[in-house]
Amino acid sequence: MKYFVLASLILIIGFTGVLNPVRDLFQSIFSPVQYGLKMTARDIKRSGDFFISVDKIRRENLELLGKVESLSSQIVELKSIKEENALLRFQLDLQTSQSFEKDYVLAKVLGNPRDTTGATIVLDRGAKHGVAPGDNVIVGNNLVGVVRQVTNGWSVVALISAPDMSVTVYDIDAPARTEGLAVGQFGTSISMTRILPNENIGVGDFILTSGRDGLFLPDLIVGRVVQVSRDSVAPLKTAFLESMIDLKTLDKVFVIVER
Amino acid sequence: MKKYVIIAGVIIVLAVLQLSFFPEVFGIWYSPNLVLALSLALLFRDRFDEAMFCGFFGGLVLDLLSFTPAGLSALVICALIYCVYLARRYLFRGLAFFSIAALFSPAIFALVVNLPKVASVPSLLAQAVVTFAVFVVAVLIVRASGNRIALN
Repeated sequence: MKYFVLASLILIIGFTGVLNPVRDLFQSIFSPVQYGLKMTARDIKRSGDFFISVDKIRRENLELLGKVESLSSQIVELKSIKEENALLRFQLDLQTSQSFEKDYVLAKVLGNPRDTTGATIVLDRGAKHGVAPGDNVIVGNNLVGVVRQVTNGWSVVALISAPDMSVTVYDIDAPARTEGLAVGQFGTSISMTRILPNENIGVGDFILTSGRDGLFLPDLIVGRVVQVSRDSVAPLKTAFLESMIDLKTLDKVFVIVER
Repeated sequence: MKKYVIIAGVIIVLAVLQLSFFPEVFGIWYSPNLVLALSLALLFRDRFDEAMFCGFFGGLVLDLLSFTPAGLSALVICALIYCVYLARRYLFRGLAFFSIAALFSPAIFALVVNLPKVASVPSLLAQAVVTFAVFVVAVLIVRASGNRIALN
């Protein structure tokens, strides 16, 4: 019975925030251990997966070699465009929109096994590193999610695939820049909703954040269209997106914090 | 006293493994609840006090290493252990009851701790089955090491 009383007391006291230093201490001690174990587990799993799918990897390797060739030629093209762009920027005296008001905080992903819906991850960076609720989390230029909860040393990030996540987005490949709302689907995929029937959207198109919701920075990659619903009865179209990054195997991410 | 120190040490290792190692290898759905499995194994070997301590301390460590309110997991595991203990003592004495209780306890735990988010039934069942398997292994280990720990 004493354990009941103790647990209840701790639960009640916990809501007052008195135990936060204890939690911070615990988390700071075990963060490196947890991260090390997580990486070890991932290596073990990858080794297992590699031996299981050697044949598939060989085929993928051949495909990728072909893609590398075509991308190399694109790089040459882009280099000339980059030079042209730099010249135009110099002439127009433009500054990049994010360069002077944002900072990037590198964070290690600790996972969040307590969340069985798989919609959130825990990062080893928190309030003392400048992370605050609402900060965008990215890898490269790909949107990972948004910070929902912060303690002194850790933070919880809701992934873009979370069921309660919605982001205003647009199709950069559509001539009229088709806009819509990207919504998480049960923590596993993303769908783009509210697309008018006459608006253009195609498989393979890149979907970026529009920034109209005020929650997400503009022009972050949400995903690529893999399927478009063609239900003639439905008044609006829905596109299904695939994130460019594997949200389940994230290792390190960047949190965009206010400078 | 010494046995509680040993249990506390084991519990810390199990809790860290439960939160970091197993979800990566097997995925969140198939990751066992090691703390609950060990608590149930101790109860199965008629070590009520040790089982309650294991549930309390293990739950607390789980809470401190994640974002659940401190004390919630400890309270839920203690409640589960106590309910199983009472039912076993006064209502059902057979192995069948304990097996069913051990099978469903992880699902109840995951359901309560994750509220208001409700995990899917297959995920709860998968976790319950894997935890039950670990429980069986834990019972064998506790039985093998039982006499030594009991003497301390």
